[in-house]
Parts: sequence; C-alpha cells; structure tokens
Amino acid sequence: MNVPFRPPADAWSRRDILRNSFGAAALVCTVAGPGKLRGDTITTSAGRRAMQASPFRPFQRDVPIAPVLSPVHRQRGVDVYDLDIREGLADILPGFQTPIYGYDGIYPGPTIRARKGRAAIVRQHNTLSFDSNVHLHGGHVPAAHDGHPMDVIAPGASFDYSYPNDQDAAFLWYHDHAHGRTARTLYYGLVATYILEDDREAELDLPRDEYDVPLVLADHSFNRDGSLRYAENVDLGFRGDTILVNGAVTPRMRVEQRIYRLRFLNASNARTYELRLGDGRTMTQVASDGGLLERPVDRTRVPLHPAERVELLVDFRKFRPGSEIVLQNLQGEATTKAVMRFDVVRGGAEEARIPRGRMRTLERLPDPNATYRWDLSLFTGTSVQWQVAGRGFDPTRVDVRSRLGTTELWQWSNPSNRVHPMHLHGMLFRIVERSSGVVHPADRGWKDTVGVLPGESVTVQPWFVPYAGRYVFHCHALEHGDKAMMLQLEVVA
Amino acid sequence: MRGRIALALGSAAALGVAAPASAATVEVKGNDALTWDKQEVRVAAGDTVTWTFAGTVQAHNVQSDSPNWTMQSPLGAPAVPWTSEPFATPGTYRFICQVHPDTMWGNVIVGDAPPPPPPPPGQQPFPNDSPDVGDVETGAFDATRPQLRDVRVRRRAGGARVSLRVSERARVTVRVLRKGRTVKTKHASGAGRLRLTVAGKGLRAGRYRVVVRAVDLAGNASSARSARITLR
Repeated sequence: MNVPFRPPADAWSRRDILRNSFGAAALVCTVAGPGKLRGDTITTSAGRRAMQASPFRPFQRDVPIAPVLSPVHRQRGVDVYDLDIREGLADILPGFQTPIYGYDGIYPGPTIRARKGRAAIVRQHNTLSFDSNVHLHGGHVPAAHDGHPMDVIAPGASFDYSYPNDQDAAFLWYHDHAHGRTARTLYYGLVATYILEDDREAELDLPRDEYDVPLVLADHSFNRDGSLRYAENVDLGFRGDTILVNGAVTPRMRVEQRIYRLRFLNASNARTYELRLGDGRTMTQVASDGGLLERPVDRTRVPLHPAERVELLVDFRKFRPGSEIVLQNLQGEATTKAVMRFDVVRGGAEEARIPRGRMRTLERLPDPNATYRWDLSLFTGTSVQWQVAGRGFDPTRVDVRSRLGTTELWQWSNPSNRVHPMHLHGMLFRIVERSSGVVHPADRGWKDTVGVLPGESVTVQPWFVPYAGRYVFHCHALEHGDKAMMLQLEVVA
Repeated sequence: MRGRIALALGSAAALGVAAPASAATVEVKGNDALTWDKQEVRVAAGDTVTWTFAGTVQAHNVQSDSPNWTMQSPLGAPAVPWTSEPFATPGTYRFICQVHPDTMWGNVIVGDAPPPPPPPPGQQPFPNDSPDVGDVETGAFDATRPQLRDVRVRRRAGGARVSLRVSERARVTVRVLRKGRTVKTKHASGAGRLRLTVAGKGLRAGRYRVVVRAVDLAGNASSARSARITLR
C-alpha cells in the first residue's frame, strides 16, 4: 500500500473553528488575530504595536529547547521509550499556529539522552495516514532497525527500534526515511535529536545540563495562514527564506558568562550554512558527526552541510553583561544571514574549562581492501533524476558488497554545480583526502556525512563494522535523495 | 517574489494577463527566481504559446500538467525555447517546469473560460520581510586587564594582612613566598576594596615576599604586585 503524502495543512479543518472564525481574509492582516488567539491579554499600546510587528522580526523570542524524553520503563540494562508519529500544531510564527508532523506532535521532536553501553528500545507508533519510518542518523544500528527506505511502518502500525548504543559518545539525530518523500516529511517536522554520552566525555568536564544545548537549524518558508510552504526544486534543493532554530524564528538566547557547549545540527533540506560568531570570535570545535575529535580545533568560520553536526565550545566569559552577539550565516541571502543572537547576562562560574590537548585517540583502521569511484550527476532525460555512478536507487539491486570488519576507499566525484552532502547509513568513515585542499583538522575525526563541493572529489574510508546487512548511502540534500540519488550497500560477514 | 505577491492580491491587472486577439504566438518567460513571467496566458483558438528561458542557469523545462493535453520539452540548463502546438479546443491547459513544479506553474486559457479563483491564504506565500540585522556584535568584548592599586601589606600576629583595591570584579590571588618557594596561597573574589589575611602554620619568623595578582572572568590578568615583609 502506498498512500500518497499529504501536507499537514489538512489539519486546518480540525483546528478550533471558533478561535479562527474571523475569516480567511483577515488572516492576511495579523492585528486582530493574535489578540483573539491569546484571549485579548494584550492591553498596552506597546503590546499592540509589538503584535503588529512582522512575525519574522529576528530576536523576538527566546530559543526553545526540546524536552528530554523519559523512558516509559527501564528493564535490566535497557531503556524503553514510546513515541507517536503524529500531526501537531507548532508555535513558530508569533500569532499563528503551524500544522506540522512531529514525534509526539512537537517540532523538533523530544531529545533522547542515551548512555554508551545501555541499550534503548524506541517504540514508534505511526498514527499518520501514510507510511513512515525512523532512521537514527549516525548510529551503529542493526540493518533491520536502521530505517532502510523500504522498511516502513504502515499507517496505524508500530515498530520497536532497537538501538544497542555500543559506540562512542556522539550527537545523533532521528528522522523519517520512508522512500521518496523525505524532502517533505523532514520539512514538515519529523526531526529530533539523540545525544549519546559516555564516560570519556564525562572525564573531560565539558559543560553540562543547561549549558549543553542542542540547536536544530532549518530553513522554512510560510503561507499567509502561517502554515509551512514547500516549493520543490530538484536542481538546487529547497531554500526557505526564514531560519528556524529549534522551531523558533531567528531567536535569542540568554547566556551567562561561562562556557557553553553548543551542539549544532543542520536539519535543512539542502541549505549549507557557514557559521560566524559576532566579529569573528573564536569557537572551539570539540566534536563532529561521529563524536569527539582527537584535539579541539579553534575556528572562526564553520561550514555546516545538511545532516552534519558540529559541537562548539563558546566562552562567553569574555563578553560583558549586556553584550549581544549575533551568530551569522555567511552563505545566506538577505533574510537568512542571521541565525540567532546570544545575549550575555550576569552570572558566571569557572567549573567548566576548554580542553586543550588530546581528548581521544582514534582507532587505527585496517588497510583498505577495495577502491570505488562514484560520480554524482544530474540525469536529464524524460524525467529529472540525480544519480550516483550513473544509477538511481533500486531496492532490488545491491550496488556494492563489502566484507564485515574491512575498510575500503570510496571516492565521490562531483562534476555537477551543486553541493552533495553524501551520507552512509549504519557506519562511519574518515575523510582521507579531498581535491579542494587539505582535509581540515576538524574533519579528521569520525564522520557520517561529508559535503562534496561542486567540482570536487572526496575520498573517504568507511569501516564496515559492526553489523552485517543491507544499508543505503545517499545524498542528504533531500530533494536529490528522493529523486533517486541513493545506492544500496550489503555488508557480508 | 513580486510576481507571487501580485497573485496573492488576486487582481487581474497585476497578473500580467497576455493580450490575445491579434497575437498568434504568446511568449512566456521562465526565470531563475523559479516563476514564469505570466501565470495566466489567454489565447484565441488556433494560437500557440512559446516558453523561453533567457538568462537562466538552473535546469528547467516546460511540460503539460493537466489531462487535456500532452507536451514536454527537454530538460536543460539553460533550457531550449519550446513552442506548443496550436491550441484548437477552448479550455484551461496547465503547464509546469518539472524541476520546480510548485512555483513554476501556469495556465493557458483558450477562449472565454473564466479566470481561476485566487488561491486561499493557505496557498499564498507569506514572505519574510525582516530588514537587515545591522550590528553583529554590540556590547563589549572584555580585553581590559584589571588594575591593582593601594596594595598594602602589614604584619599581623602570625601572618600578614593585605589590603588592596581592584578596578573590576576579579579573582585576587595572594601568594606568600620564602626563599622563592610559595608557602601559602589565598584567594578572594570581588571588586573595589578587598582585605585578605594570610596566617597559620608554616609562617615562622623570617623574611617573606608577598605577591598579589588579579584575574578577571574573561581571563585578563593584572600585573603582579609584590612587597617584602618580615615576620617575627
């Protein structure tokens, strides 16, 4: 059964008609609406002026932090979680409610905090009208629980995803991966973070609790009624005109004068960010997709391609209270240049410190025993399709067979004029070399996604551990991946 | 952008309706803002429409998107201009670009069909109109070192009392050294006038040197001040 996708805008019919009954035309002007939605609590003229301000004005709202999911029970070393995949209403634009799809109906979905060595079972119930599934991006997961695009949960059904959590601490995320529609399902909200911790990280005394902040970046556009507006662009990939951080429009964040651990996830469909803090202030990168780097790397500009994660320690002790520092996106257009703003307030402590020196030792890899070269190209025949090595995705065909425990050299060669963030499921790789220059020190750790720039060739060395089975690898510019830019890998024991 | 907002107003004049009657071929121009220059093309029966893509670098094409006709041009970057067959039968013929179907769509209306109704607010774009952000950093980056003033060290029973003034909130460290080795250390945090007393076991009679330093929260350190003191 393949029920077609429909956007959650259909949830409009179930919204409280009385609350929004002043007519569709009145929604174009937002003055009357918000007062009604909030029960007319705005009584000052300043308040009314604020409500008349554009809902897109930046830094009007404090950045929301997604709630941490509690297990429904713990049994003998395993934490069991329970989630509904369902429609919901999100407060994104001030004065509007935006229909979304979300884990437990919120965007972003709840954060799962897991511990290395303690398995988790995440029970997902699909209450949508179409197929869905869940992929734990960056996780070492058995093939049957990895969210392969063809392993879907039918509407009304459930599935217990089993995550062994037997890998080093890393910032993972989970999202929908049903075949052919990830560009829409992720866009409408099926995105959440999964933080895996371990003892090694705890020894480093990095910032914790409210000073360890996951920040989900995604660009969106809107319709006049506040619903999300999607416009397909198979060539460039979707570009929205508004940056959301944790589901809020260009928010602000109050920070004390201390060190913060900012975990950034690029959950955009296809937009690449280049982050810069204030007047080029130093941010210390301690981790990438696959966890801690060997040594921290001080950076002033941080590129972040779709699906990549980067963890930055920022020392706000150097700013006086009252300072406001804007995190910019250097690759943005007029309305997507500002990401968020940090407002420094009084209060600080000296417990956390920026680590210097070695944080971990990366494992030595076995020598590669095969080499592959994959060309990334746009096919323009009777239909438009992006391809890898001249092929689109075919679930009945295995494109590469690799032996469990070995490594190989994979070269992704990109003659096209678009960035392709190439992602491998179930396993991690190291970047060996790239034709655009030296591999940046912050890219020398474990990765699961690499942005192959236009005209570039990147060679990576995946390590096929720890599970055998069928996995996929694909471009994580979602419009490209949906239009077939995906191949299938089988790891054989 | 402007074209889409004009559509939201729903006024026929803003839609840029093509002039029919005398023209046998109407041109529709695609662009890299991912729209056509007209979304409604009115022609008489027997006329043709030509789609052009001058100045584009993204991949485009044009093809039919309603069941009453079939047309498809090849994809290209830039795409080649494409002319339809003459539209013989009155009706509404929807066309799209295959790469950007959500924004590059339009209708060829042959004959006297009524204009399609404006889309509901749930399908009208609400563009982000926020102005440029302005300063990327306001406030102050703390690069000033704290200043120590009026540092006085006095002998007290069994130890030393240090009083000082520090120009900003800082962590002040007082070290007592004998023959170059630190025998006692004491910290205090604050701003303005501070007093510390260093005493206790290990401070026998003799000559000592007392060194005072302040470090602020941002890590800027003052210069060290030292004084000599003889304990009895």
